[in-house]
Amino acid sequence: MNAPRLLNRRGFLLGATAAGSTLATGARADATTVLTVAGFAGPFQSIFRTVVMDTFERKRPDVRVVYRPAMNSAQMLAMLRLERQAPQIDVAITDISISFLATAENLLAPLAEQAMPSLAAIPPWGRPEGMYGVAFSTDNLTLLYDTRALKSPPGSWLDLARPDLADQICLPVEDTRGVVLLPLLTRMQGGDYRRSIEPGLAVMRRFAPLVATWNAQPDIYTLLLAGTVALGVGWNGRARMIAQANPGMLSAVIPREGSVAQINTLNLTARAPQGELAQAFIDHALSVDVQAAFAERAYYGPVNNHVVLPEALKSAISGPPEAAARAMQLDWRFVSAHYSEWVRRIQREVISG
Amino acid sequence: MVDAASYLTVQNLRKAYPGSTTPAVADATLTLERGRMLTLLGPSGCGKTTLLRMLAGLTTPDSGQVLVGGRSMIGVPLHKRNMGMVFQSYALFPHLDVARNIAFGLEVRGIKDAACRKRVSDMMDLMHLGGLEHRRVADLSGGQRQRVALARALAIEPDILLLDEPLANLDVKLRGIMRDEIRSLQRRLGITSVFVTHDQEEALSIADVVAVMSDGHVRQIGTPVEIYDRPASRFVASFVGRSNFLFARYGGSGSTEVEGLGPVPLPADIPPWEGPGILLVRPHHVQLGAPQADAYTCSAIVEDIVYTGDRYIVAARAGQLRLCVEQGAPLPAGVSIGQDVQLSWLPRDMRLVAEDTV
Amino acid sequence: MQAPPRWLRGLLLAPGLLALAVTFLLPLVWLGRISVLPRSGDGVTLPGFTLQAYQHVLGDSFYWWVLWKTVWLGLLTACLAVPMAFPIALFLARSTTRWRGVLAALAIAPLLTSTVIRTYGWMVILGRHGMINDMLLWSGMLAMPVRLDNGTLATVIALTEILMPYAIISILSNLGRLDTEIEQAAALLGATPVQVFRRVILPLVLPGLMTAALLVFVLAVSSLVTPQLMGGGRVFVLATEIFNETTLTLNWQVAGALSILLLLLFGGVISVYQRILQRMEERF
Repeated sequence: MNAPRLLNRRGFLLGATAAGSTLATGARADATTVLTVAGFAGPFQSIFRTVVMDTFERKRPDVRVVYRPAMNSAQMLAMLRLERQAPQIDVAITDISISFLATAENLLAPLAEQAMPSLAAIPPWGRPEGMYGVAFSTDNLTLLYDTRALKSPPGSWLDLARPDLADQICLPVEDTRGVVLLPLLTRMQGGDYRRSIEPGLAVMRRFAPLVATWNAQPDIYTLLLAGTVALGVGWNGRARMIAQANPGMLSAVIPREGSVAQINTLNLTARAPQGELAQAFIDHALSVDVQAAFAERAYYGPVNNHVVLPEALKSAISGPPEAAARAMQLDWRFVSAHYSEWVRRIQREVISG
Repeated sequence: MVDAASYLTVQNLRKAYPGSTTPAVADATLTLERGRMLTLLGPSGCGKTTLLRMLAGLTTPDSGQVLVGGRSMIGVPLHKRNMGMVFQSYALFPHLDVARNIAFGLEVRGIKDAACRKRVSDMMDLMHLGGLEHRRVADLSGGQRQRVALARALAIEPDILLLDEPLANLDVKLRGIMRDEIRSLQRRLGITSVFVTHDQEEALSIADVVAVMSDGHVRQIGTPVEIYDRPASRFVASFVGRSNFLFARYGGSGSTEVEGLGPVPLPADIPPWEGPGILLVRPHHVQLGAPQADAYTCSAIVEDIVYTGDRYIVAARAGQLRLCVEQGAPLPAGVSIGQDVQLSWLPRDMRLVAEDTV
Repeated sequence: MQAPPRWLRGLLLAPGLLALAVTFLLPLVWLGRISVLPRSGDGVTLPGFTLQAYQHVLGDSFYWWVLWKTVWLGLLTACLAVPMAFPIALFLARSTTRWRGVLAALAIAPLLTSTVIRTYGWMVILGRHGMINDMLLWSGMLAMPVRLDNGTLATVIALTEILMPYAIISILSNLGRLDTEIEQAAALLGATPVQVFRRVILPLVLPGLMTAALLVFVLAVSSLVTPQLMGGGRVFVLATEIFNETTLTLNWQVAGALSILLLLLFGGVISVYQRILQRMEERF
């Protein structure tokens, strides 16, 4: 469930140092109130700091927001579990399946509707039942390809079965990518993932013989830049940021069958030291301006209904209209409950099958 | 050319280690009769171990010849030399028990079962190792290891037995016992042996023939009596037993002028010589107190007395010479430090020795 | 000299024992505790006690298959690394050249770089556009690049190279028993070079080789980074499985149970080994 692959080693180190220095300065400024946010390390952290935290601090000069980076969802969950009795974290940024799990383990607290005007603009899928947190952003699964190796861009998920790309495909599906791809492939076969993911697994098995690696190390973006593989699946936001930084090397495409998103959530921890402040912060993070700015910086889809993005940005995030129209909305409560089972089935029936 | 006079022949054997200016062994030549024991005696670094290792084939000589029973040993691989060797470290097989250590040479020769067992038990009896068959080597005492090493070397009935300072790691008492045992065993079995040691007493008492070495050269070869009584050079004399050296010029007509002492009579068997010469008088030939008839006599002052149990070592100054005297207990009356005494020796106990050439 | 009193000896041991307790025992107890906590169907960890995770692991043929792959990988790596390390160690022990120190340092130098870096090195060599493929393509022996990376073969190659320095050190430290005089003694007693090797060198170094093999086996079995980076997701071993259960599927109960089982596997292997070594010592 280490969903947003917005982390790399250097990013983590930078994040850690940044967090360290904020902690240090935070300790000195004892007249101010400290709000602690825990979230993903890496590029996500730096964008989140400028777009969300800095703006909040400007609005509330009496508050200092501290960011505690986590390497992955497991570390985040460990932090929450470890601090169950005496939480240090006020707001936890997690991917949506962790939000469900943490809610069920009573690690989170419900949000107070009346104190948070932005919540009214969040669609129902951003606040599903069984989850105390609220969606903050979405990130679409995309096909990534090496623009130097592929003459024409891939247009379909089924291009992952193109024989001419044998041994040049990277399919890192032992994580959330696989878990969201399975329902999508199932739908493409006319099935319903809530009944059976067998059709999706069947398609994946067709990809299997062509796959060079199932385990993108350090990540698929690096492998594509290095020319080690030519085609793979990855997250849209990170891919576009990297494509922008390395022009003419890799590109991301949302195929015509549509895409499926993973969702990052904001969560109020149970017994949070600064509960009210935390809710004000979450409300700020969900506000139209912040949502729009974050989308522009990170190519993450906004969750606030009132956000209007320029057409170019909209298609960079959700793909061309045809693809965007076929975007798949998952029942994340169901998906979260089946997460480990699906990963295990991918391992056994696709990779080692 | 197998003849009793030269079962083991070493001719002009030479070895220089790379990076060293002087050879470890230079032109060593010697012969040994079958059944005899030769000791290679010398201070550490004299080349005796290198010479032994060349005999064993463990070190390749630069030039020269080694013959055993007329057969050249140069280039013969170790396992075809049929030589028994006892290492200073014993070099027992730590993974084998006593019996299997002794049996090793037999087993690799294909001797097995009853014949092997018989030979092993014979060797164990011979070396008084009964009851230790299945003892691990690590659990043996120094003396027992020594016996196992010997038994192992002898079990293969070697043409030559080589012993590299085999007693060096034993305490004084055990060393004496083992020395006598090796000697009697060697005589009884009549096995041609070469024994390396730096201990002159050990060398003299165990050997039929002694080769004294220094700086890579064999300085003298002879029976223990010859080595002690007629040392060829100042080095040999000083290495084997205590010595008084008198630096002297030939004074003509059976007399000599000794530096710091004056004229001293010479025996008839010392011929005239040119230039400076060295005369040797063994300390036990020098007498304290009343002189013997025909003896040369001088007066001296006692400077030091050392008591060693069975005798006294007395240092006395005669003229400008410091002389060493060995005197059986008790000391004559009146001999004490600072006292004047009479020293005397018979001219026939004097030897003319050569100065060593380096 | 009098032996120090018992309490003093106990006191001297205390810091080490404490460090061991804090860094090893405590986490182990924690791990054991996690492995017996109940887990609801949707992944929620509940208070209580259950052996569900163990039942799940032991009753699932997939994990048995992973266990078998793990042991197989460890054995293969040990069987490759030790015979390759032995001549190097022997050469280093025997060499009298003045470069010996430098050579020994070179043999062990790879340990100075992290496993991750060396593994990436192998990715470069074995990759689709790596040195070997390029060479084979250039020489015309291949028309298309073959897959050398991302699999068991690559994992074994990298593990062997990465763990060889450990084997060299381990064998080298055991070659002390192998005194050249002992070999010379054997040869003078009539043993041919082959007999010297078989009857003296081998029995003397075998315990050292076995120790090295055990070391390599244990390190290979517990390695995570190399199978992950070199396996292309295809190499399922206990370590990667534990990692995935911990960080991906967040099934800490199963991760804990697998860890405990891996520990038991180590314990079993080491005790069997001890017995074999003992028997060997008795036989020779």
